[in-house]
Amino acid sequence: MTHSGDASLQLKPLPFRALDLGDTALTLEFGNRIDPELQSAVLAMDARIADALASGELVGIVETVPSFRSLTLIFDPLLTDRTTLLDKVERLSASGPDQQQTPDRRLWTLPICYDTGYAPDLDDVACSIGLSRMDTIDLHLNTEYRVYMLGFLPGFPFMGDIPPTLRLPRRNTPRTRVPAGSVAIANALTAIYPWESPGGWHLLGRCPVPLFNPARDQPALLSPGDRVRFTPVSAQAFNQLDEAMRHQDYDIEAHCLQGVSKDSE
Amino acid sequence: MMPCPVFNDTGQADESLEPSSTAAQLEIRSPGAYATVQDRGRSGFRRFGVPVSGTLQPELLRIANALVGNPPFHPAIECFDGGQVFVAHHAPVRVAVAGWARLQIQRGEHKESIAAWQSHTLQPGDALRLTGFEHGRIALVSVEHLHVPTQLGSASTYARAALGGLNGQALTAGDRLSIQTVLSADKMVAPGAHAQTGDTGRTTRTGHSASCVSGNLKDRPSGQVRTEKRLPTPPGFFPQQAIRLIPGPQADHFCQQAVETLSSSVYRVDAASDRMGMRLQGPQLLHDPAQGSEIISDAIVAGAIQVPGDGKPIVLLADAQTVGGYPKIATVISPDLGRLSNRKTDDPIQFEWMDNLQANAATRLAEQALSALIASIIPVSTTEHSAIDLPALYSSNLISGMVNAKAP
Repeated sequence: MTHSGDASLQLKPLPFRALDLGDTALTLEFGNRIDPELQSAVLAMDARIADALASGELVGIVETVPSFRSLTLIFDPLLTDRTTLLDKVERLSASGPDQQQTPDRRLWTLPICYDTGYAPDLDDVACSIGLSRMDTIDLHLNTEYRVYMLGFLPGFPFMGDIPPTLRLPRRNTPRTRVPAGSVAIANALTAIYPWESPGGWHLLGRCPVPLFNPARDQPALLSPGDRVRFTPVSAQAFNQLDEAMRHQDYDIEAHCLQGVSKDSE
Repeated sequence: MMPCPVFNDTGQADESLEPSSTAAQLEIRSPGAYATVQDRGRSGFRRFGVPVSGTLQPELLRIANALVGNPPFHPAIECFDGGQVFVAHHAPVRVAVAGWARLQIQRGEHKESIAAWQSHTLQPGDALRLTGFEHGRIALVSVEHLHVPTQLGSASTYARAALGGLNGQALTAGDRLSIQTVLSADKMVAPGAHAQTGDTGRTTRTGHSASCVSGNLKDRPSGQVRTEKRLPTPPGFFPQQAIRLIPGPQADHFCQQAVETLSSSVYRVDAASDRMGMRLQGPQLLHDPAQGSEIISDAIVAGAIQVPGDGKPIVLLADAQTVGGYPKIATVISPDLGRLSNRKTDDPIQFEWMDNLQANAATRLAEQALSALIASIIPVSTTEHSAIDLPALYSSNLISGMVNAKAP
């Protein structure tokens, strides 16, 4: 079901710039900002290429990498070349909108603990934006985020959009060690660190859900296009969940996956 | 020339006297400066944030594997900067080193220099030592039938996510790598081991000492010839050769001067370089002020040269993150990336521009050259390989008695 006034978000091929990323990759760039329309264009092209690959076309493509506003095609230069690929991709792009392109979008609800000790930067952020701790939490909590892309670390989701009043640039001094599961914000994005790692974003809470497991069919839990909402839990509940979710047989989908939708928004 | 001791350097009974009933292992007695299990890398998971990893020198991986009869992209041990010591256990282990490294085999107290670009069979207790490099800093050590479990389709090590390798980590002292025993016809044959039951592999003390050095002579199952292999003409190391670049994808984020600077200056490899990236010292590359020094993150590949705000270029390598927020001024062409990765700290680097069409031609040429090189691998002839013990030859009584030609 489409929402009135959202015609701009219909999945339709947008024009792109083709940029060489060396001799083994070609980046199709759809724009220069982080927003849902551009991401939809990226995912639409990705879906068309996936269909073409499944039909035996586009021989030589190794994989595709969606990012905020680009889709990069990785190819084997001994099997194909950028001219051949670009020609085929341009024809795919011109072949008109396709209902089947709408990917399933999953909605997740992920637990988050905002308690002191789990949210090292929450008070500083609240102070910076001139709101109470509670109101700051509400701002972060009451938004449904879209997963724009995975990167930086395996399973690490870049999600948006943070409400304008909560937007801050990255910290002046990054941390050398951010605890695993930290939920962080910077500018218009929020993210979750699957492992301990260096990081320069503001840490607002912690989420116990494992975001990457090589034993799963799809090793990353989240995919570009997924929707994520957070639900607050106490420190005690966090610790229980953290313990429970370490077991391989914990059914994350049963607990955290709310539904699947084909809305084109 | 090495004698064949009954006891190895720990004073225990020589393992080679035991029947080869236990699968061979390779102990990492020392990982040296840095050593990881790598193959060609794991493709297909970049969209989940998983870097490809894999060896920085795929050409050396293929040569090393060909020398021991492994498939071309079989996992091997990628070694940096020397200091590695690997010890064979339980059964003979065939290895080869591709790279301009200095090597020794140690048996007991004795160390003997051996050649790279050639396979060698380590007897149980023997140690392979990489003592340093003639050129470059990377060597690939292949092990016949090395067995390392794969994760997401590859045995390549990516420690940040504990993928591949041994328990997802770089190799450390005490680690043991498994060698898979191979079934051959109706016999169970371990690499270099005996096929006949009851044969303990004991070496006689008479005869050429070459049989101890090469190992393969005494360990060859009867009727089955398993010679070592070598590359008659190892590849050349050409430090003066420029590294070829294709501009972009964000070349337009830089002043035109930056593009000229990159190809007209000498850069040097910075010490703070690793498998994620090679930092370069040299003239700053200035960003176009209208564009700034950051981009909305997009995908990177190994060889992409990103330039953060300080203007210092970084060549991204196999373990780099899959997406990045710094503009990329150029990308190293794929046939030149291995060569670049093998440069050492302070080595000079010069770049030159190339277009995509030329790069494709260069890739095909490089592939043809590598295939021809691997096809030139020859067996090591035993007379060629053995060292003749002249004193022993002259002092031995080779004739058991005088022969009277006139006797009936």
